[in-house]
Amino acid sequence: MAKPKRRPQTREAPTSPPAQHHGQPHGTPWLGLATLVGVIAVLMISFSNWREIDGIEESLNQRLSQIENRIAQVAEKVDKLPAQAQPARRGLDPNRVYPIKTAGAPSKGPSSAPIVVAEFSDFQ
Amino acid sequence: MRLVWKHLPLDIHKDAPAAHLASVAAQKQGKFWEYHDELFTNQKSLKLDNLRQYAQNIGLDMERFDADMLNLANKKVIDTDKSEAQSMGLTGTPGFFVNGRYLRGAKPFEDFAKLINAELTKLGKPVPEEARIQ
Repeated sequence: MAKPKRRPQTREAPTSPPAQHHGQPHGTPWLGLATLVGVIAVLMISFSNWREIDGIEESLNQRLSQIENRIAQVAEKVDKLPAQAQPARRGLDPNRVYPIKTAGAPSKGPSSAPIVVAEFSDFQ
Repeated sequence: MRLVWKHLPLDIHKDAPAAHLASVAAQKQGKFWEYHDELFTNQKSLKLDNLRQYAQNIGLDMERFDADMLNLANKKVIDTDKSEAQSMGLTGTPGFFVNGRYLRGAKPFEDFAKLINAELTKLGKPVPEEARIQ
């Protein structure tokens, strides 16, 4: 008995949808879509960040110029201060004659000397 | 010229109070300046046994010295000087006053001389030839 000839079936690859440029396998357009959504999201976040930074920069500039104005005002006041408003060093006035008590204090030199030098000193 | 010593022990100098007290004890035996020199020669060694040693060095009566070291009246002398300094606003040492005029120490000799010469002139006293400063 003769076997019917079987037509050799060429095994072909399953037909694929119209070839896409990036050669993606069949059934995943979602990846492209997801990428697109991602890109748009990043752009939106960047944009909002940029706006925020801009706002921060502006408010900082404002505060900076306020501080500069204040400094200028204070500098003006300081310049106007009279020189004698500054206190004498350590509270001792070189133009003043202080009454130093010398009675009982150890001394060297004649008691009739016109110049008396009082020395306040430590030993250590 | 007369030089007068006024006590000003600084709070940061822990050994100072005892040293000043010892100097007052020496003064009571008429040897303040000798004791002063002992202390200045040995500024780094001012512990109690050092102070007693210096008293012995200059021949002080040690019984009197030891008693005077404990005498509060002597401590009062030092405290009085210190209060006087503080009330004038003097807080550091040394502090020099020439006829009551403050000269911030430690100044070069020239500054002293100028101030002294000015005082002499003010008092109508002659300034010695060799003391004239340009």
